[in-house]
Amino acid sequence: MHEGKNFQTLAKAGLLHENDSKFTDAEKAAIESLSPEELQALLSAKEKLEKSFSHAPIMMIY
Amino acid sequence: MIPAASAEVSNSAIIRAKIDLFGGRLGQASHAFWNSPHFASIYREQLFLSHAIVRASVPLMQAAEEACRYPQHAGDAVLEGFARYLRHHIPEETGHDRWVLDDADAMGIGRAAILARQPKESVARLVGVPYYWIRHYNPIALCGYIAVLEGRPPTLELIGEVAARNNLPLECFTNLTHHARIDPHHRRDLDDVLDALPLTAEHLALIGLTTLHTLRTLTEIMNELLAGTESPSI
Repeated sequence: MHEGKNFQTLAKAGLLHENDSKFTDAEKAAIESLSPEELQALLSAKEKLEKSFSHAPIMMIY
Repeated sequence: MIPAASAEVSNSAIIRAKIDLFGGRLGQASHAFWNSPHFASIYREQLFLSHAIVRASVPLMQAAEEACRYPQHAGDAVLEGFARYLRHHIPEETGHDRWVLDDADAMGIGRAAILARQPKESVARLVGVPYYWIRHYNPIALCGYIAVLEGRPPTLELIGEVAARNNLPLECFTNLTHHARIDPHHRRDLDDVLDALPLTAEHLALIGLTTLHTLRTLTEIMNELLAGTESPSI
């Protein structure tokens, strides 16, 4: 089990629902690099990490 | 200065991973858009929303390039590098708003109707928050906005399939088809810059915050769009 502080904070808030082993090294690094402000943004929005549609093309483009 | 969070994982990989991890709801809304039984109707509204966003792209980058040259940022190697990227990228993005207007003409909406309508507050918030970071803190924040908006363009195959399924000519999709061709290159260009710049953990946190804001607000805009299928405004 991943023991990173941010990971634990998100898991405790119920925002992680996937087993840690499914996260790539980049995803683990991304989670642990979250600043307090980013964490607060995620916690206040109650945004669950959800990778099911993470590669769907978006239509609002630059 | 605090060093970057991970020496083993590149800056771009961290930013892309954040988009993948926290962009699920945007992906879900996008999936619903492409597969909507009311696509022809909501695509008209999408053109209005898309134009409101795209017409701000170049001015936003110009504001960031100018801010990189503020006296308080003099000698900042990160912003010198970012400004070089912006000066290269601004001409590449110039005129894209006209592609959306061309699509509006092809759809029978008319560019005048798009231009006359007041943009939505959610779009103003999407674009306005990066302006704040750029002008009043650090223009590197714009990387998060660009990374999301240029990160996952539709493919030509998807556009063709959606057009055929909804009996719409490809002439109505020039903005999307152009971006399907160019955005993969633009994504690589941005990733190269992110990996070449000596970003600190503070830079990555600000880019991350802008990334989260962009993902969240785009999701809100998409959900408003999908909810309004019964009463399109154009």
